[in-house]
Amino acid sequence: MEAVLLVTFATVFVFVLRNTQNQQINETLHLGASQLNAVVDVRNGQYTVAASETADLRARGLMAWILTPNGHLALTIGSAGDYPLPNTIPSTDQTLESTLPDTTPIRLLVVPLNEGNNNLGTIVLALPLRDSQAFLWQILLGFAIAIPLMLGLSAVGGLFLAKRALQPVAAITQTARQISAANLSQRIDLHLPPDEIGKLAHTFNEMLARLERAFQREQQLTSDISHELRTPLGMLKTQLSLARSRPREAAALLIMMTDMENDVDRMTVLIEQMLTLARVEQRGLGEFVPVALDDLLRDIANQLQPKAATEQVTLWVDIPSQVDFHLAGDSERLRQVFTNLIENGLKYTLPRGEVSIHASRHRQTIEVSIVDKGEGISPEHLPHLFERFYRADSARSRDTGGFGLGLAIAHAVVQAHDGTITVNSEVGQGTTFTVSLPVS
Amino acid sequence: MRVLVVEDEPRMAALIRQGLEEEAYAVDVVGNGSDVFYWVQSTDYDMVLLDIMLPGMNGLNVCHRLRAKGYTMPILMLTARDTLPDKVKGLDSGADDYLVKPFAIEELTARLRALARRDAPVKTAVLTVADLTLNPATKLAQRGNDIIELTAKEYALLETLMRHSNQILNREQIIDHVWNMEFESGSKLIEVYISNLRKKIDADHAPKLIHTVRGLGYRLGDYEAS
Repeated sequence: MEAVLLVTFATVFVFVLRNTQNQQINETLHLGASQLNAVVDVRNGQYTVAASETADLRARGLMAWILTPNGHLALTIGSAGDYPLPNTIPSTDQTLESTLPDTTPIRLLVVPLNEGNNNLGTIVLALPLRDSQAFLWQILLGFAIAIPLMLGLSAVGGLFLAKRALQPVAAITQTARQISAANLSQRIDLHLPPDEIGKLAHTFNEMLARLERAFQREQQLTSDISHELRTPLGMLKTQLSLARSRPREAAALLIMMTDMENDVDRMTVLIEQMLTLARVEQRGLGEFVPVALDDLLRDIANQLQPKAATEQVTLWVDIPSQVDFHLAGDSERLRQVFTNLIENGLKYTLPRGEVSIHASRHRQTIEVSIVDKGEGISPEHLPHLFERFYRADSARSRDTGGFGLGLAIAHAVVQAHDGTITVNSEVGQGTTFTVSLPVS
Repeated sequence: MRVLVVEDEPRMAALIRQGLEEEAYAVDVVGNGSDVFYWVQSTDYDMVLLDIMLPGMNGLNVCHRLRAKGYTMPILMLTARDTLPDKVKGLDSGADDYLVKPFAIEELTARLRALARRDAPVKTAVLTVADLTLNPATKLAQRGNDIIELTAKEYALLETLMRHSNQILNREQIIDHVWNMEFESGSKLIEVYISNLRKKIDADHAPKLIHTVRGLGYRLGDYEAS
């Protein structure tokens, strides 16, 4: 590309230079012709030119042969005297390239020699071209050397510049190559100008940060699951070995077996909850059917009344009748979510407290609130409440058998319905979970 | 043998306590790392069973600090994590052995027996004084050709006396190794158990091995105090 440009430039340059030279030569010739016309003195068939004029013409490199009207050589000017009249001469007022016998290239111009209206003969003017051609050759030679040189330099310089410009890209490539799931903490050094490559690096770093967070969540999840499974498994193993380490009475063995059965139940619940969560998060929900949310909530409340009675907590439903609470959803999963929320409310409410269920219909959504007057949740836990395995109170929820998965499942199910679930809580005042579900 | 069990999972702690008590260990349980230092200060524990995953201060730090404070009793690390770096870290922090959960209670007690041997001058599994032997694995004693069956507490008391043979142990030292924190220090239980042991070991045999050192305590050995 550069080469084509340079050669084109050189060609045009030489062409223009030659044209200019040509014009200058022609001008010199015509000027000389006019001058000669003025200074040739013809008297009695004798042609003379003043010596000063001859010298002037010669100084400009001109030579001339002056012919009589019948073609005889009458006078030579300058070095024309050293040469015979060229064999071929152009017609009047025309120029012609030719060479002298000693091969000197010349340009010829032929003009009539007039004095007034009388033709007194012909002037054959010649200008040697040696100097101007030599100049042209020098220029060409200059280009012949300069163009490859420039091409070479620009290639080296271009390579250098390209290398410098692409160095950040190389750094990005290097980092990208080093990154695997094991070391997602790698980042590109961001000492880059805020140009496109800088932006690319920044975007790349942001993507890495997101990936790292996602991987950390997955790793945390895996280690949480394995911890939750290992604890009851470890107890099972120890208890089994203890049970058979010595002869025991049936009653003692029965107690141990009951404990072990509880461990098995706990693991079963954990695995079922994990499966529910994974299914909802990965495959979404089952078929959506029309669900009357008010009927569903009343039914759950009825089912949980015995439990509320055991805990000595009042459970009541505040849902307006004659309002359409139908929506499209996964009836079974919604039942699971609300059962879990209400059970949580019962669990964290002290005896003689109350848990209430409210529902209201808005234009596009149905809003359900589960309100308890329990002990509340401190603010630092609220942002994490819907995370898997998050337990606001680890010691107590372990006693009550929770894994910290119920709210994560609720969140996943509600999200799969394109709804939202939020929590409001104040320590000592109680907690309100609000689920908002779109009608269609 | 008096063991301090540091385990935050209450049910796991209860299982370990039951398993060890059935093997005649005196057991105290602590639920978090930072309480350990108070307990080891007040009692001369023969061993510490230390879970790595603890609330407060983790087991590795507890172990490190125990060693830094100059405690030399054997420490057995207990954890669910079974990766190599954790094992190395556990041993480097000053633990003597490492047991990965889940474990069988028999493995735990076998390792504790091995740890007890490690500190003994004679590294045989069976304790011997004169013609009296005691096997910690079977809890059986033998005097001459007679096999002697012992209750758990009798075994624990005899083991303590034999491990410190020919040394005088006072009441407090005996309590430290044989009973746990629930023991009431004013009680006459030690005297009762000593007399039971005498009946089983010394009544039909000579020389007498269990000696009362008036005003100081008890000594088990095959020579008479001068």
